[in-house]
Amino acid sequence: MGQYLLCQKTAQMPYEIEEMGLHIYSAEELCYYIYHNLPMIDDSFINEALIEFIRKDLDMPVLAEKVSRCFQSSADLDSTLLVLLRNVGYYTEEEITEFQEMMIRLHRKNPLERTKDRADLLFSYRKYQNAVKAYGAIVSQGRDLRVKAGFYSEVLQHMAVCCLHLYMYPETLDCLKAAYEENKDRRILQQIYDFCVLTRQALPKDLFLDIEDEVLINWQKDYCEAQDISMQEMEHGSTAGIFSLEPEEREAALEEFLKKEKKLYREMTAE
Amino acid sequence: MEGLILGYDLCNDYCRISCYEPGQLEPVDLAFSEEENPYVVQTAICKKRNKEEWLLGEEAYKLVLTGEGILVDKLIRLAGKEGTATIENKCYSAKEMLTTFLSLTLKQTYHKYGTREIRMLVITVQTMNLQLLDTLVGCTDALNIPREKVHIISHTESFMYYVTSQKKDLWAHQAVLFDLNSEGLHYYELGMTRGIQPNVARVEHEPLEEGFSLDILEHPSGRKLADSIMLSCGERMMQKKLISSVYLTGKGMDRCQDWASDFLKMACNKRRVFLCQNLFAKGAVYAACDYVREKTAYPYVGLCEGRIQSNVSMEVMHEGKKKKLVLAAEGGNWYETKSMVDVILDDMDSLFLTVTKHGEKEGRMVEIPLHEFPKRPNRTTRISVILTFTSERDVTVRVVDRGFGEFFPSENAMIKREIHLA
Repeated sequence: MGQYLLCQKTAQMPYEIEEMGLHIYSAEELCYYIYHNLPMIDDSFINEALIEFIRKDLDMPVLAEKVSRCFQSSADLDSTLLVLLRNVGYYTEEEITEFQEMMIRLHRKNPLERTKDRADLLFSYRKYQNAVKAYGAIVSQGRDLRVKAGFYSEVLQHMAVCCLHLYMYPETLDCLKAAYEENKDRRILQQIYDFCVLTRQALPKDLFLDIEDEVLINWQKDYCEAQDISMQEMEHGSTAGIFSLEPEEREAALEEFLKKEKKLYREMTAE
Repeated sequence: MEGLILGYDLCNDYCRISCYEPGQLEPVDLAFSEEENPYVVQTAICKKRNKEEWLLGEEAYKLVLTGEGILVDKLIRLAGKEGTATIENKCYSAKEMLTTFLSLTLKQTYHKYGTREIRMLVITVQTMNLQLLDTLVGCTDALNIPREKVHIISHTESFMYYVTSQKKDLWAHQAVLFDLNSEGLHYYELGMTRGIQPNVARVEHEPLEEGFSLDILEHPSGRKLADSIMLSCGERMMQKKLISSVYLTGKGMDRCQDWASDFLKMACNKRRVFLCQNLFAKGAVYAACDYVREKTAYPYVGLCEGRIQSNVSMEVMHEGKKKKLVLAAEGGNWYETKSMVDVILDDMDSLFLTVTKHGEKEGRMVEIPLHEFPKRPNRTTRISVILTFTSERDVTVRVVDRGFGEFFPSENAMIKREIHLA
């Protein structure tokens, strides 16, 4: 049998996590953010502004005092985060124990792997510009042989997807090519194929020399299926029905749609 | 703090105003005229022909008699139905006319006390019907009386305040009231349950079928009949009960000593009997005084018309512990009870509320399924549970999906359920 968690106060003025472009309105959301975005949290996360937000906007002076004491005594970040999670009561003790294990695993990771985790989170929040920077920072450093096989290839693939979302087509192709260079996996080659078809570019001959016709036909089939699914989703998506509206309503709906898309783009490219 | 503390008995036929005066043993009744019964004014207003001028009481009657005015009466009934009246081709809403009436009556109060400042105003009405209450609140808003300084209670509750403000021996056992007016005959009975903490004051109200037209009191035979009816009612309602005091009120009880001899003889047998014409207005003043206090002087739960008779609660987790959260408490004024609480669903797809009737140990569970809400990962749906009442036994529960901040935005889904509290 489940239960209902009595909510703490919701803030009128949210706390902004700038890098993610996120606004936090409650203690529960703060805990959720910490739990699910651990790689994003560094020493700068606990600061006076956050403590003041907890004290005034969330009306939790006791918790603010506890966090402040940790902050002032230079207690490590992990302890401070645990104080937060335990006092809000959003997560159970078991979940907090799992969180502690997450923290330990994160500390054991290679710095490059931690950077990739951060970049992946930025990617998941559609902060493509910041994600590209983070991926770029990994790639531009000297090769680290301690990372697992396929690490750099994965980084370059993710970077390619970010560039694609930002309409940076030449960079997208460069990243995909570099990813294939790192790891001669045919799935990456298929991604290059899909990208070239999507952007109506010629396939890079040097990469596709040894690819059998049958394979190309299958890839073409896969691409068409994906395109159909995408078209179906569009028919039921946010643009569905706009063009069947009366001219006046259509204009207003298009304006609204463009407004949303522009906002989305600004968020994606925000630094 | 300055300001008037007023009790306003607003009936369909008559209204009465009482005011708290420091140093006085009882609230003081406001006189509207110099007539035989000056403390009463008909709930009617008269519009001067061809002018936007309104009058009440004596002046109004004079105008109507000379044909210079048009009378609109039964304003409470009109307000309860959201009615209108068309006078000289202009339509006036019940709210407009009632506002004018209240304004004229309060003007006299302001004039007597030399101030327009209201510290607390309690209006008491026979029946607490949602439409009427909304209209009355609208009227006081229109008169610029701050909302927090206005309360509306039932006659039953007013009686409760009146009796429990008297000496304790008068309500050591039960106290009863007979209200005889042009609208009928009403019986009220107050009893205290002292064995539990807090004590409970329960007041029952029953409109009696034997109510009769006050016109019969004009004739000797009618008066005799009225006496026998009252005697029969009194015997029936008070038999085998331990009653400390009997109160008599209403226009019909004016000069009851002249026609209700048999009834009074029965009533006065081992009981103290009081004729109190402005009982409801005075009771409303006692209520108003209590609203002004920081801590109530009536440390008991009142259960009567206008008050919620059951607790509505839900079990929640707070700071790691299970707690019972009371959303609506028994004894609260139903019209003023509005509660809202936010909770996060943790492995729950329904809202369970517990309704516990007064005196019961176990309540009944009411389930409101939330399947219509968007599906999200566990503990990422915040809901607002909002309770309002449409009567003392009917509660409307609204459950609103608030999402989970920017992680899972709300889709503004809302589920509404009406629950009848038995």
